[in-house]
Amino acid sequence: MLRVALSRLLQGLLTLLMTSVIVFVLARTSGSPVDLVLPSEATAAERQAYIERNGLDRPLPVQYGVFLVNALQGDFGTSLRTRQPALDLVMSRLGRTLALATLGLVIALVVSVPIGVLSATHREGAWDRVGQGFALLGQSIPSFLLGIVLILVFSIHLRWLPSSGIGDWRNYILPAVVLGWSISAGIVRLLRSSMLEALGAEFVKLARSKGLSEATVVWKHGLRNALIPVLTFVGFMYGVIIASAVVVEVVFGWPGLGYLAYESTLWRDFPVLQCAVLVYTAIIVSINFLVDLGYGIADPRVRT
Amino acid sequence: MTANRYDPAFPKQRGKPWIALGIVALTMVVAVFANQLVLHDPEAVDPANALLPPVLFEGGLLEYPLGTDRLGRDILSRVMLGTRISLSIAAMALAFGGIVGVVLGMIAGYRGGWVDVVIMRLADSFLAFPSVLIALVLAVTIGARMELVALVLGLVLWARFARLIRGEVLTWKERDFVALARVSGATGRYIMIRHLLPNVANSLVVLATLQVGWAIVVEASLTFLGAGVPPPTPTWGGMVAEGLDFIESAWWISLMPGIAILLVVFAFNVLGDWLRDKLDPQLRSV
Repeated sequence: MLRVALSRLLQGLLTLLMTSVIVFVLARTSGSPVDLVLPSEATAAERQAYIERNGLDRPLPVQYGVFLVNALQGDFGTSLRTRQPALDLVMSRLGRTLALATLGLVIALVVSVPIGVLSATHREGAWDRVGQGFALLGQSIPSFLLGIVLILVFSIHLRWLPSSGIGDWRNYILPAVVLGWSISAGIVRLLRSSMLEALGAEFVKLARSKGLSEATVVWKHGLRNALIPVLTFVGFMYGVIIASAVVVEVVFGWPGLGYLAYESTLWRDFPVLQCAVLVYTAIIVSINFLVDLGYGIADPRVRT
Repeated sequence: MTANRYDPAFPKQRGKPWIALGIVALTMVVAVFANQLVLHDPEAVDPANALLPPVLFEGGLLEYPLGTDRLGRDILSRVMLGTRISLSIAAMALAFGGIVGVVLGMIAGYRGGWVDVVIMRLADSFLAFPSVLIALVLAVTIGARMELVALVLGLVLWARFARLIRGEVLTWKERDFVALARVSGATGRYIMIRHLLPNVANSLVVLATLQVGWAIVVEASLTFLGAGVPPPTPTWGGMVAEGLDFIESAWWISLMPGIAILLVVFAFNVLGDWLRDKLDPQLRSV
C-alpha cells in the first residue's frame, strides 16, 4: 500500500514538474522573460534588479532552479494588471471553480449512472440506444456550444435562468450542467462496459441462483462492483472538468480560476497565467492522488 | 453454445454508418478544396449585408445561405475555410502524437523492464497534462501558430497511443510467430516493424478515428478562447466567440460554426465506434 501510494505521489510530482518545465521553457523561448513579467513602463534599474534577483544572466538550469524555489515558496511574481501577488489572485478565485466543478460532477453522476446501468441491463434494447446516443452526443458537443444553446433557450427565450455572472443558486445551474455534460459520456460508456462485465461474472450468477430479485442483483451486486473502475476514473474526470471549466467560465462569465486564466491571456498578464496553470495542475494531481489512495483503501486487491 | 448476452465482446452487427461516412467524405473534400468551393471571399467585408440571417429565415438572402456576420462576411465560406484549419490541425496533431506514441508504446511493450516503466510513467504524467492551459501560455509567450497548437494536442495524444499500443504489444509478443522470428535471428526493430505493427494496425486506426473528434473539439475550444490560430483567419472556435456578443440578435453567427463542429465530430465518432466494433471488438477502453 505504501509503495503504491509513493509511486502515485511520484507520478503526480512528475506531471507537475513537466508542466512547470514546459511553462518555463515557453517563457524563456519567447524572448526576454523580463518583458513578460515586468510592466512595460519599468525602468532600466528595475529591469536590472529583476534580472539579478532571478539569475536571468545565469545558465538556464540555474534559472529554472530559482523559478522552482520561488514557486515552492508561493512567489509567482505580481500581476502586471493589478500589482497584487499572483498567488493571492489565483487563490481568491479557486473556491468558485471548485464549487462549480463539484456540482458538475454530482450532476454528471446522478444522470449518467442510471443511464449506464440501464443500457447494460437492456443491452441492444431501447435503453441501450438511449445510452449510446447520449454518450455519442456527449462526446460530440463541445461545452461552449452546449453553453450557448442553453443560454439561448433558458436565458434569452424562456428567461428562467441568468446567462452570466454570479449571484444566487440560479447562476450555478447552467454552467454546472454544461460541466457535468462534458464528462457524462465517459461515465456512461465506462459504466456500461464494466456493468456488462460484472453482470457476466460468477458472483452475479450465484446471486441469481440464490433467487435474489433482479433489481437486487443488478443494483446491489452488479453496480457495486461495476462502480469501482468508474470511481477510479472520477479523479481523472475531475481533472477534465476543471480543465473544461476554462471554456465554461468564459461562456457564462463566471469569475473563477478559468476565467482568470482567460483574462490573463487577453491582458498578457504572464505571472498570473503561469501561477494559474501551476495551481490548476497541482489540484488535478492532488485529486488524482487522493482518489488513488482512497481506492487502495477501499479495494484490498490494489494493496500489493 | 450461445454467447453470453452480457459479453461486451459480441456487439450486435450494425449496418454501415452511411451518413457519418458521407459527412466525413464531404468534410475532407471541403477541407482540401475550400478555396475553390467558396461562394465569397471569406474575408470580404460587405457592410450593406451585415447580420443577415440564414436563407430560410425572414430577411435571408440565397447569396448568403448561412447568413452573414457583423461585418457582412459570408458565414458559409468562413465555415468552409475553418474546416481546413480544424482538419489540418487535427491531422498534424494525430500524426505527431500517433508516431511518437506508436514508437514509444512499441518499445515499452516489447522491451519491458525499466524502459517500459520509464516510458509509461512519462505517458501517465502527460495524460493529466492541462493542454488547454498550456495552449494559453503558448499564446501569451510565443504566439499561437497552427503547428504549435497541433504540438500541444500531440503532447496529450502520444500518451493515449502509447498506452494502447503497449497493451496490444504485450499480448502479441507472446505469440509463437514472434518467438520464431526471434529464434531465426530477427532484430527487435525488425520484429516490431514487420510482425507487431501490422497486428496493432487495426487498433491504431480505431483510436486515431476516435481522437479526430477530440482534437477538433479541443482546437475549437482554444480558438474560442483566443489561444488558437488568431484572426482574421476564419476558425470555427473563433467564429463562435465572435458571435457571442450578438447571441441575442444574431444567433447564427455562433451557432452555424458550432453546428459544423458538432456534425463533423459526431461523424468521426460514429465512424470510430463502427470501426471498433468491426475491426476490434475487444477494444473497449478507448
